[in-house]
Amino acid sequence: MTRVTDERAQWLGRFILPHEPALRAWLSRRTVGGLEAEDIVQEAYAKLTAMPSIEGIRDPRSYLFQVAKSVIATHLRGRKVVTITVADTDILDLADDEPLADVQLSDREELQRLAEAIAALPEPTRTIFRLRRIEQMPQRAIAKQLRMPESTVEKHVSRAFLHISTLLGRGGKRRNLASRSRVEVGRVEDAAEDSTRD
Amino acid sequence: MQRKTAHEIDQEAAEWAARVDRGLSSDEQSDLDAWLAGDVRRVGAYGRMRAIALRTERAAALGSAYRPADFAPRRSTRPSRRKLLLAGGAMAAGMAGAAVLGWTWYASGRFQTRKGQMRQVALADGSVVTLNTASLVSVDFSGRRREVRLLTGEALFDVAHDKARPFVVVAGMTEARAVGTSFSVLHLPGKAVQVLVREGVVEVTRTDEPTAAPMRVNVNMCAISSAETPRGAATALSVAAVPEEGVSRALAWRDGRIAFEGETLAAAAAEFARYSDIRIVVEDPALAREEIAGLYETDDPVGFARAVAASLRAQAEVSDGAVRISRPASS
Repeated sequence: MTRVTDERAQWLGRFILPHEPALRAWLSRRTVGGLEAEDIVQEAYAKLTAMPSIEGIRDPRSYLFQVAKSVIATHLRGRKVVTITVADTDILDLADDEPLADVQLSDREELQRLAEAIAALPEPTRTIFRLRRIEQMPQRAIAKQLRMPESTVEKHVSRAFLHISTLLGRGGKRRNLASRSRVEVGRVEDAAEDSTRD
Repeated sequence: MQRKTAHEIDQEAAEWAARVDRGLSSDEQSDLDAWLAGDVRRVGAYGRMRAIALRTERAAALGSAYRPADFAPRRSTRPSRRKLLLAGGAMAAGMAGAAVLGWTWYASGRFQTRKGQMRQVALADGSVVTLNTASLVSVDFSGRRREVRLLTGEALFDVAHDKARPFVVVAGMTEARAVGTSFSVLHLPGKAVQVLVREGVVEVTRTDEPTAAPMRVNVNMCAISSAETPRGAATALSVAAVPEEGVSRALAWRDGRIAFEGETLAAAAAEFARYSDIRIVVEDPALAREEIAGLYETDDPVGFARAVAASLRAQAEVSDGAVRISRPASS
Protein backbone atom coordinates (compact mmCIF):
# COMPACT_ATOMS: atom_id res chain seq x y z
CA MET A 1 0.00 0.00 0.00
CA THR A 2 1.28 3.44 -0.85
CA ARG A 3 1.03 6.10 1.79
CA VAL A 4 2.04 9.53 0.68
CA THR A 5 4.05 11.17 3.45
CA ASP A 6 4.02 14.92 3.92
CA GLU A 7 7.77 14.83 3.91
CA ARG A 8 7.78 13.43 0.39
CA ALA A 9 5.10 15.86 -0.74
CA GLN A 10 7.21 18.75 0.61
CA TRP A 11 10.16 17.48 -1.34
CA LEU A 12 8.10 17.16 -4.53
CA GLY A 13 6.82 20.69 -4.11
CA ARG A 14 10.21 22.15 -3.47
CA PHE A 15 12.41 20.27 -5.89
CA ILE A 16 10.26 18.68 -8.59
CA LEU A 17 7.33 21.01 -9.17
CA PRO A 18 9.55 23.95 -10.25
CA HIS A 19 10.87 21.76 -13.09
CA GLU A 20 7.52 20.44 -14.23
CA PRO A 21 6.92 23.19 -16.83
CA ALA A 22 10.31 22.37 -18.37
CA LEU A 23 9.41 18.68 -18.53
CA ARG A 24 6.07 19.44 -20.16
CA ALA A 25 7.74 21.72 -22.68
CA TRP A 26 10.26 19.00 -23.44
CA LEU A 27 7.49 16.42 -23.88
CA SER A 28 5.48 18.73 -26.12
CA ARG A 29 8.41 18.99 -28.50
CA ARG A 30 8.47 15.25 -29.10
CA THR A 31 6.30 12.57 -30.56
CA VAL A 32 6.19 10.12 -27.75
CA GLY A 33 4.76 7.08 -29.48
CA GLY A 34 1.17 8.20 -29.01
CA LEU A 35 1.52 8.58 -25.26
CA GLU A 36 -0.21 11.50 -23.61
CA ALA A 37 2.14 13.96 -21.93
CA GLU A 38 -0.34 14.15 -19.04
CA ASP A 39 -0.05 10.44 -18.39
CA ILE A 40 3.72 10.52 -18.50
CA VAL A 41 3.85 13.36 -15.99
CA GLN A 42 1.43 11.59 -13.66
CA GLU A 43 3.36 8.36 -13.81
CA ALA A 44 6.64 10.16 -13.27
CA TYR A 45 5.17 11.73 -10.15
CA ALA A 46 3.86 8.34 -9.09
CA LYS A 47 7.37 6.91 -9.26
CA LEU A 48 8.87 9.84 -7.37
CA THR A 49 6.12 9.59 -4.75
CA ALA A 50 6.44 5.86 -4.22
CA MET A 51 10.24 5.68 -4.21
CA PRO A 52 11.45 4.32 -0.88
CA SER A 53 14.14 6.97 -0.51
CA ILE A 54 15.05 10.23 -2.17
CA GLU A 55 18.42 10.50 -0.53
CA GLY A 56 21.22 10.80 -2.98
CA ILE A 57 19.21 12.67 -5.60
CA ARG A 58 21.58 15.53 -6.19
CA ASP A 59 20.02 17.02 -9.27
CA PRO A 60 16.22 16.77 -9.04
CA ARG A 61 15.71 18.29 -12.46
CA SER A 62 17.68 15.74 -14.41
CA TYR A 63 16.28 13.03 -12.16
CA LEU A 64 12.75 14.06 -13.08
CA PHE A 65 13.63 13.91 -16.77
CA GLN A 66 15.25 10.54 -16.29
CA VAL A 67 12.19 9.14 -14.54
CA ALA A 68 9.91 10.49 -17.28
CA LYS A 69 12.11 8.86 -19.89
CA SER A 70 11.99 5.55 -18.10
CA VAL A 71 8.18 5.79 -18.00
CA ILE A 72 8.17 6.29 -21.76
CA ALA A 73 10.66 3.48 -22.32
CA THR A 74 8.55 1.08 -20.25
CA HIS A 75 5.48 1.88 -22.29
CA LEU A 76 7.29 1.49 -25.57
CA ARG A 77 8.75 -1.86 -24.55
CA GLY A 78 5.39 -3.10 -23.36
CA ARG A 79 3.81 -2.71 -26.77
CA LYS A 80 3.03 -5.74 -28.89
CA VAL A 81 3.89 -3.97 -32.10
CA VAL A 82 6.58 -1.40 -31.72
CA THR A 83 6.77 1.28 -34.31
CA ILE A 84 9.96 3.03 -33.55
CA THR A 85 10.11 6.48 -34.95
CA VAL A 86 13.11 8.71 -34.85
CA ALA A 87 11.60 10.61 -31.96
CA ASP A 88 11.15 7.42 -29.94
CA THR A 89 14.75 6.30 -30.29
CA ASP A 90 15.82 9.78 -29.38
CA ILE A 91 14.05 9.34 -26.10
CA LEU A 92 15.34 5.86 -25.47
CA ASP A 93 18.84 7.17 -25.97
CA LEU A 94 18.23 9.30 -22.93
CA ALA A 95 19.90 12.12 -24.74
CA ASP A 96 19.59 15.01 -22.38
CA ASP A 97 19.47 18.23 -24.29
CA GLU A 98 18.30 20.19 -21.28
CA PRO A 99 20.59 22.66 -19.60
CA LEU A 100 21.61 21.33 -16.23
CA ALA A 101 21.04 24.57 -14.44
CA ASP A 102 19.59 23.82 -11.06
CA VAL A 103 17.51 26.93 -10.75
CA GLN A 104 15.90 27.10 -7.38
CA LEU A 105 13.29 29.70 -6.78
CA SER A 106 14.22 32.11 -4.08
CA ASP A 107 11.71 32.47 -1.28
CA ARG A 108 10.79 35.87 -2.57
CA GLU A 109 10.15 34.66 -6.10
CA GLU A 110 8.15 31.81 -4.78
CA LEU A 111 5.98 34.03 -2.63
CA GLN A 112 5.50 36.27 -5.65
CA ARG A 113 4.28 33.35 -7.75
CA LEU A 114 1.95 32.22 -5.02
CA ALA A 115 0.53 35.73 -4.68
CA GLU A 116 -0.09 35.76 -8.43
CA ALA A 117 -1.63 32.31 -8.48
CA ILE A 118 -4.07 33.22 -5.70
CA ALA A 119 -4.91 36.49 -7.45
CA ALA A 120 -5.77 34.52 -10.58
CA LEU A 121 -8.39 32.36 -8.81
CA PRO A 122 -12.02 33.01 -9.68
CA GLU A 123 -14.35 34.19 -6.93
CA PRO A 124 -15.58 32.95 -4.52
CA THR A 125 -12.76 30.39 -4.62
CA ARG A 126 -10.25 33.17 -4.07
CA THR A 127 -11.85 34.56 -0.94
CA ILE A 128 -12.26 31.11 0.55
CA PHE A 129 -8.72 30.11 -0.26
CA ARG A 130 -7.43 33.35 1.12
CA LEU A 131 -9.18 32.76 4.43
CA ARG A 132 -7.86 29.21 4.50
CA ARG A 133 -4.24 29.87 3.63
CA ILE A 134 -3.43 33.49 4.36
CA GLU A 135 -5.67 33.97 7.40
CA GLN A 136 -5.18 30.29 8.26
CA MET A 137 -8.79 29.80 9.35
CA PRO A 138 -10.14 26.28 9.85
CA GLN A 139 -12.59 25.04 7.24
CA ARG A 140 -15.44 25.05 9.73
CA ALA A 141 -14.86 28.66 10.74
CA ILE A 142 -14.84 29.73 7.11
CA ALA A 143 -18.13 27.93 6.50
CA LYS A 144 -19.62 29.71 9.47
CA GLN A 145 -18.37 33.13 8.49
CA LEU A 146 -19.51 32.82 4.88
CA ARG A 147 -22.69 30.97 5.83
CA MET A 148 -22.18 28.07 3.53
CA PRO A 149 -21.97 24.33 4.10
CA GLU A 150 -18.52 22.99 4.93
CA SER A 151 -18.68 20.77 1.88
CA THR A 152 -18.90 23.88 -0.31
CA VAL A 153 -15.82 25.37 1.32
CA GLU A 154 -14.03 22.09 0.77
CA LYS A 155 -15.06 22.06 -2.88
CA HIS A 156 -13.58 25.52 -3.39
CA VAL A 157 -10.35 24.58 -1.62
CA SER A 158 -9.98 21.60 -3.95
CA ARG A 159 -10.72 23.83 -6.92
CA ALA A 160 -8.05 26.25 -5.77
CA PHE A 161 -5.51 23.42 -5.54
CA LEU A 162 -6.38 22.35 -9.07
CA HIS A 163 -6.09 25.89 -10.44
CA ILE A 164 -2.83 26.58 -8.67
CA SER A 165 -1.39 23.26 -9.76
CA THR A 166 -2.13 24.26 -13.34
CA LEU A 167 -0.42 27.61 -12.90
CA LEU A 168 2.63 26.43 -11.02
CA GLY A 169 3.11 23.03 -12.60
CA ARG A 170 2.01 23.64 -16.12
CA GLY A 171 3.11 27.22 -16.34
CA GLY A 172 -0.15 28.18 -18.02
CA LYS A 173 -3.73 27.28 -18.61
CA ARG A 174 -3.94 25.75 -22.02
CA ARG A 175 -1.31 23.83 -23.81
CA ASN A 176 -1.16 26.07 -26.84
CA LEU A 177 -0.64 29.03 -24.58
CA ALA A 178 1.97 27.27 -22.57
CA SER A 179 5.03 29.05 -23.82
CA ARG A 180 3.55 32.50 -23.56
CA SER A 181 2.24 31.94 -20.08
CA ARG A 182 5.55 30.57 -19.01
CA VAL A 183 7.15 33.87 -19.79
CA GLU A 184 4.40 35.59 -17.92
CA VAL A 185 5.05 33.59 -14.78
CA GLY A 186 8.59 34.55 -15.62
CA ARG A 187 11.85 33.47 -14.16
CA VAL A 188 15.37 32.75 -15.22
CA GLU A 189 14.85 29.10 -15.96
CA ASP A 190 11.92 29.71 -18.25
CA ALA A 191 13.81 32.31 -20.17
CA ALA A 192 16.62 29.84 -20.70
CA GLU A 193 14.05 27.28 -21.75
CA ASP A 194 12.67 29.59 -24.37
CA SER A 195 16.03 30.51 -25.75
CA THR A 196 16.77 26.84 -26.43
CA ARG A 197 13.63 26.50 -28.46
CA ASP A 198 14.20 28.77 -31.36
CA MET B 1 -13.93 0.10 -15.53
CA GLN B 2 -13.34 2.84 -18.02
CA ARG B 3 -9.90 4.37 -17.97
CA LYS B 4 -10.07 7.84 -16.56
CA THR B 5 -8.34 10.75 -18.18
CA ALA B 6 -5.40 12.41 -16.51
CA HIS B 7 -7.54 15.46 -15.90
CA GLU B 8 -10.26 13.50 -14.12
CA ILE B 9 -7.64 11.91 -11.92
CA ASP B 10 -6.19 15.35 -11.15
CA GLN B 11 -9.64 16.50 -10.10
CA GLU B 12 -10.14 13.57 -7.77
CA ALA B 13 -6.64 14.09 -6.39
CA ALA B 14 -7.48 17.74 -5.66
CA GLU B 15 -10.62 16.63 -3.80
CA TRP B 16 -8.55 14.26 -1.69
CA ALA B 17 -5.94 16.95 -1.07
CA ALA B 18 -8.71 19.26 0.20
CA ARG B 19 -10.04 16.56 2.53
CA VAL B 20 -6.57 15.81 3.86
CA ASP B 21 -6.07 19.53 4.34
CA ARG B 22 -8.97 19.78 6.81
CA GLY B 23 -8.15 16.38 8.35
CA LEU B 24 -9.36 12.88 7.51
CA SER B 25 -11.55 10.61 9.58
CA SER B 26 -10.24 7.08 9.87
CA ASP B 27 -12.89 5.87 7.43
CA GLU B 28 -11.78 8.47 4.95
CA GLN B 29 -8.17 7.44 5.43
CA SER B 30 -8.98 3.89 4.37
CA ASP B 31 -10.99 5.22 1.44
CA LEU B 32 -7.98 7.26 0.39
CA ASP B 33 -5.71 4.23 0.71
CA ALA B 34 -8.11 2.20 -1.43
CA TRP B 35 -8.37 4.96 -4.00
CA LEU B 36 -4.57 5.25 -4.24
CA ALA B 37 -4.21 1.50 -4.63
CA GLY B 38 -6.58 1.50 -7.61
CA ASP B 39 -4.32 3.13 -10.21
CA VAL B 40 -0.66 4.06 -10.15
CA ARG B 41 -1.42 7.39 -11.80
CA ARG B 42 -3.53 8.34 -8.78
CA VAL B 43 -0.45 8.07 -6.57
CA GLY B 44 1.33 10.52 -8.85
CA ALA B 45 -1.57 12.92 -9.12
CA TYR B 46 -2.17 12.85 -5.39
CA GLY B 47 1.52 13.25 -4.49
CA ARG B 48 1.65 16.25 -6.77
CA MET B 49 -1.56 17.78 -5.43
CA ARG B 50 -0.47 17.28 -1.82
CA ALA B 51 2.78 19.01 -2.76
CA ILE B 52 0.74 21.96 -4.05
CA ALA B 53 -1.37 21.99 -0.88
CA LEU B 54 1.72 22.14 1.35
CA ARG B 55 3.45 24.64 -0.90
CA THR B 56 0.53 27.04 -0.65
CA GLU B 57 0.86 27.10 3.14
CA ARG B 58 3.65 29.60 2.56
CA ALA B 59 1.02 32.09 1.43
CA ALA B 60 0.50 32.85 5.13
CA ALA B 61 3.60 35.04 4.84
CA LEU B 62 1.66 37.37 2.54
CA GLY B 63 -0.30 38.55 5.54
CA SER B 64 -3.69 40.18 5.90
CA ALA B 65 -2.75 43.15 3.79
CA TYR B 66 -2.40 41.02 0.66
CA ARG B 67 -4.38 42.58 -2.16
CA PRO B 68 -5.06 40.29 -5.10
CA ALA B 69 -5.45 43.30 -7.41
CA ASP B 70 -1.75 44.05 -6.98
CA PHE B 71 -0.90 40.67 -8.43
CA ALA B 72 -3.58 40.30 -11.08
CA PRO B 73 -2.27 39.35 -14.51
CA ARG B 74 -1.79 42.39 -16.74
CA ARG B 75 -0.61 42.96 -20.26
CA SER B 76 2.80 43.69 -18.87
CA THR B 77 4.85 40.52 -18.60
CA ARG B 78 6.97 41.75 -15.73
CA PRO B 79 4.82 42.81 -12.81
CA SER B 80 7.06 41.05 -10.32
CA ARG B 81 8.91 42.57 -7.46
CA ARG B 82 7.50 46.04 -7.57
CA LYS B 83 4.08 44.59 -6.70
CA LEU B 84 5.43 42.59 -3.83
CA LEU B 85 7.08 45.76 -2.67
CA LEU B 86 3.78 47.57 -2.75
CA ALA B 87 2.04 44.81 -0.87
CA GLY B 88 4.80 44.99 1.68
CA GLY B 89 4.22 48.70 2.05
CA ALA B 90 0.54 48.11 2.54
CA MET B 91 1.43 45.54 5.12
CA ALA B 92 3.52 48.06 7.02
CA ALA B 93 0.74 50.63 6.81
CA GLY B 94 -1.74 48.06 8.03
CA MET B 95 0.21 47.24 11.13
CA ALA B 96 -1.97 49.11 13.55
CA GLY B 97 -4.96 47.21 12.21
CA ALA B 98 -3.11 43.96 12.38
CA ALA B 99 -2.44 44.50 16.06
CA VAL B 100 -6.16 44.75 16.65
CA LEU B 101 -6.57 41.34 15.07
CA GLY B 102 -4.13 40.01 17.62
CA TRP B 103 -1.01 40.01 15.50
CA THR B 104 1.19 41.92 17.84
CA TRP B 105 4.37 40.71 16.20
CA TYR B 106 3.77 42.90 13.21
CA ALA B 107 3.44 45.99 15.35
CA SER B 108 6.53 45.31 17.41
CA GLY B 109 8.74 44.39 14.49
CA ARG B 110 10.06 41.38 16.36
CA PHE B 111 9.69 37.94 14.90
CA GLN B 112 10.59 34.74 16.64
CA THR B 113 10.41 31.01 16.42
CA ARG B 114 10.16 28.42 19.16
CA LYS B 115 12.44 25.45 19.30
CA GLY B 116 11.65 23.17 16.37
CA GLN B 117 9.64 25.85 14.60
CA MET B 118 10.43 27.46 11.29
CA ARG B 119 8.78 30.52 9.87
CA GLN B 120 8.82 32.87 6.96
CA VAL B 121 8.22 36.59 7.25
CA ALA B 122 7.63 38.97 4.36
CA LEU B 123 9.13 42.35 5.18
CA ALA B 124 7.85 45.74 4.15
CA ASP B 125 10.42 46.13 1.34
CA GLY B 126 9.60 42.80 -0.30
CA SER B 127 12.49 40.95 1.32
CA VAL B 128 11.73 37.62 2.93
CA VAL B 129 13.29 36.30 6.11
CA THR B 130 13.15 32.60 6.87
CA LEU B 131 13.74 31.94 10.55
CA ASN B 132 15.18 28.64 11.68
CA THR B 133 14.54 27.05 15.07
CA ALA B 134 14.70 29.12 18.28
CA SER B 135 15.53 32.38 16.54
CA LEU B 136 14.67 35.99 17.19
CA VAL B 137 15.01 38.98 14.88
CA SER B 138 13.94 42.57 15.25
CA VAL B 139 13.31 44.64 12.17
CA ASP B 140 13.77 48.38 11.89
CA PHE B 141 13.26 50.01 8.52
CA SER B 142 12.76 53.52 9.84
CA GLY B 143 16.26 54.80 9.15
CA ARG B 144 18.50 55.12 6.13
CA ARG B 145 19.23 51.46 6.12
CA ARG B 146 17.02 48.42 6.37
CA GLU B 147 18.21 47.03 9.65
CA VAL B 148 17.50 43.58 10.98
CA ARG B 149 18.99 42.44 14.27
CA LEU B 150 19.50 38.72 14.60
CA LEU B 151 19.46 38.49 18.37
CA THR B 152 19.85 34.75 18.41
CA GLY B 153 19.49 31.76 16.14
CA GLU B 154 19.69 31.44 12.40
CA ALA B 155 17.93 33.06 9.48
CA LEU B 156 18.07 33.17 5.72
CA PHE B 157 17.67 36.61 4.19
CA ASP B 158 16.33 36.91 0.69
CA VAL B 159 16.92 40.58 0.13
CA ALA B 160 14.94 42.76 -2.28
CA HIS B 161 17.18 44.96 -4.37
CA ASP B 162 17.33 48.59 -3.25
CA LYS B 163 20.55 50.47 -3.90
CA ALA B 164 19.47 53.51 -1.95
CA ARG B 165 18.88 51.58 1.27
CA PRO B 166 21.32 48.83 2.11
CA PHE B 167 20.00 45.85 4.02
CA VAL B 168 22.07 45.27 7.14
CA VAL B 169 21.90 42.27 9.43
CA VAL B 170 23.41 42.91 12.83
CA ALA B 171 24.48 39.87 14.84
CA GLY B 172 26.33 40.87 17.99
CA MET B 173 29.46 42.72 16.90
CA THR B 174 29.10 41.53 13.32
CA GLU B 175 27.32 43.41 10.57
CA ALA B 176 26.49 41.95 7.17
CA ARG B 177 25.46 44.44 4.55
CA ALA B 178 23.81 43.65 1.24
CA VAL B 179 22.05 45.48 -1.53
CA GLY B 180 20.08 42.64 -3.08
CA THR B 181 21.11 39.08 -2.42
CA SER B 182 20.44 35.93 -0.49
CA PHE B 183 22.45 34.96 2.55
CA SER B 184 22.07 33.27 5.90
CA VAL B 185 23.40 34.30 9.28
CA LEU B 186 24.00 31.98 12.20
CA HIS B 187 24.33 33.57 15.62
CA LEU B 188 24.47 31.25 18.61
CA PRO B 189 25.45 32.33 22.12
CA GLY B 190 29.20 32.25 22.71
CA LYS B 191 29.96 31.06 19.19
CA ALA B 192 31.41 32.74 16.11
CA VAL B 193 28.86 34.36 13.82
CA GLN B 194 28.68 32.75 10.38
CA VAL B 195 27.53 34.57 7.27
CA LEU B 196 26.90 32.24 4.33
CA VAL B 197 26.28 33.79 0.92
CA ARG B 198 24.01 31.94 -1.47
CA GLU B 199 23.62 34.66 -4.06
CA GLY B 200 25.30 37.99 -4.74
CA VAL B 201 27.82 39.71 -2.49
CA VAL B 202 27.68 40.62 1.19
CA GLU B 203 30.00 42.98 3.03
CA VAL B 204 30.86 42.01 6.57
CA THR B 205 32.21 44.44 9.16
CA ARG B 206 32.70 44.43 12.92
CA THR B 207 31.60 47.12 15.29
CA ASP B 208 34.81 46.65 17.33
CA GLU B 209 36.88 47.43 14.22
CA PRO B 210 35.17 50.55 12.92
CA THR B 211 38.09 51.67 10.78
CA ALA B 212 38.76 48.36 9.05
CA ALA B 213 37.67 47.91 5.43
CA PRO B 214 34.62 45.68 5.03
CA MET B 215 35.26 42.10 4.04
CA ARG B 216 33.57 41.19 0.78
CA VAL B 217 32.00 37.78 0.86
CA ASN B 218 31.09 36.30 -2.52
CA VAL B 219 28.66 33.60 -3.49
CA ASN B 220 29.40 30.18 -1.97
CA MET B 221 31.63 31.73 0.67
CA CYS B 222 31.18 31.81 4.40
CA ALA B 223 32.51 34.55 6.66
CA ILE B 224 33.31 33.57 10.21
CA SER B 225 33.36 36.32 12.77
CA SER B 226 34.62 35.47 16.25
CA ALA B 227 32.38 35.91 19.26
CA GLU B 228 34.86 38.08 21.13
CA THR B 229 37.32 40.81 20.27
CA PRO B 230 40.61 39.00 19.70
CA ARG B 231 43.73 40.09 21.56
CA GLY B 232 46.74 41.54 19.82
CA ALA B 233 47.03 41.32 16.08
CA ALA B 234 44.77 38.31 15.68
CA THR B 235 41.99 38.84 13.18
CA ALA B 236 38.36 38.50 14.11
CA LEU B 237 37.12 37.91 10.56
CA SER B 238 37.97 35.09 8.24
CA VAL B 239 36.39 33.69 5.13
CA ALA B 240 36.15 30.18 3.71
CA ALA B 241 34.93 28.78 0.41
CA VAL B 242 31.98 26.43 0.65
CA PRO B 243 31.24 24.03 -2.19
CA GLU B 244 27.77 24.38 -3.67
CA GLU B 245 26.51 21.17 -2.08
CA GLY B 246 27.84 22.55 1.17
CA VAL B 247 25.63 25.61 0.83
CA SER B 248 22.48 23.60 0.24
CA ARG B 249 23.54 21.29 3.06
CA ALA B 250 23.90 24.23 5.39
CA LEU B 251 20.44 25.42 4.37
CA ALA B 252 18.76 22.01 4.63
CA TRP B 253 16.93 23.32 7.71
CA ARG B 254 14.58 25.17 5.39
CA ASP B 255 13.14 21.77 4.48
CA GLY B 256 13.04 20.68 8.09
CA ARG B 257 16.24 18.71 7.78
CA ILE B 258 19.77 18.60 9.07
CA ALA B 259 22.56 17.39 6.86
CA PHE B 260 25.77 15.90 8.23
CA GLU B 261 28.87 14.98 6.37
CA GLY B 262 31.65 13.79 8.57
CA GLU B 263 30.63 15.65 11.75
CA THR B 264 31.25 13.84 15.00
CA LEU B 265 28.30 12.28 16.76
CA ALA B 266 28.86 14.73 19.62
CA ALA B 267 28.57 17.69 17.24
CA ALA B 268 25.48 16.19 15.63
CA ALA B 269 23.86 15.74 19.04
CA ALA B 270 24.57 19.38 19.83
CA GLU B 271 23.03 20.40 16.52
CA PHE B 272 19.87 18.44 17.27
CA ALA B 273 19.63 20.15 20.64
CA ARG B 274 18.89 23.38 18.77
CA TYR B 275 15.72 21.85 17.39
CA SER B 276 14.32 19.64 20.08
CA ASP B 277 14.13 19.31 23.84
CA ILE B 278 14.76 15.60 23.56
CA ARG B 279 18.46 15.34 24.35
CA ILE B 280 20.74 12.94 22.58
CA VAL B 281 23.16 11.58 25.17
CA VAL B 282 26.40 9.88 24.17
CA GLU B 283 28.53 9.02 27.21
CA ASP B 284 31.05 6.76 25.51
CA PRO B 285 33.80 9.13 24.26
CA ALA B 286 34.88 6.77 21.46
CA LEU B 287 31.31 6.68 20.19
CA ALA B 288 30.99 10.46 20.50
CA ARG B 289 33.97 10.83 18.17
CA GLU B 290 32.45 8.63 15.43
CA GLU B 291 31.80 10.53 12.24
CA ILE B 292 28.37 10.48 10.70
CA ALA B 293 26.76 11.44 7.41
CA GLY B 294 23.26 11.71 6.06
CA LEU B 295 20.14 13.80 5.90
CA TYR B 296 17.82 13.73 8.93
CA GLU B 297 14.60 15.33 9.97
CA THR B 298 15.12 18.07 12.52
CA ASP B 299 12.03 17.10 14.51
CA ASP B 300 12.96 13.47 14.92
CA PRO B 301 16.00 13.14 17.18
CA VAL B 302 14.90 9.65 18.18
CA GLY B 303 14.76 8.50 14.57
CA PHE B 304 18.20 10.00 14.06
CA ALA B 305 19.59 8.25 17.14
CA ARG B 306 18.16 4.91 16.02
CA ALA B 307 19.52 5.24 12.49
CA VAL B 308 22.96 6.22 13.77
CA ALA B 309 22.97 3.50 16.41
CA ALA B 310 22.12 0.91 13.75
CA SER B 311 24.98 2.03 11.53
CA LEU B 312 27.49 2.16 14.39
CA ARG B 313 26.44 -1.17 15.87
CA ALA B 314 25.31 0.62 18.97
CA GLN B 315 21.92 0.88 20.61
CA ALA B 316 19.54 3.76 21.17
CA GLU B 317 17.47 3.80 24.31
CA VAL B 318 14.67 6.26 24.88
CA SER B 319 13.95 7.40 28.41
CA ASP B 320 12.30 10.50 29.82
CA GLY B 321 13.27 13.44 27.65
CA ALA B 322 16.42 11.84 26.34
CA VAL B 323 17.69 9.20 23.98
CA ARG B 324 20.92 7.48 24.91
CA ILE B 325 23.26 5.97 22.35
CA SER B 326 25.66 3.39 23.71
CA ARG B 327 27.58 0.31 22.69
CA PRO B 328 26.58 -2.97 24.32
CA ALA B 329 28.97 -3.66 27.19
CA SER B 330 29.99 -7.11 25.94
CA SER B 331 31.31 -6.18 22.49
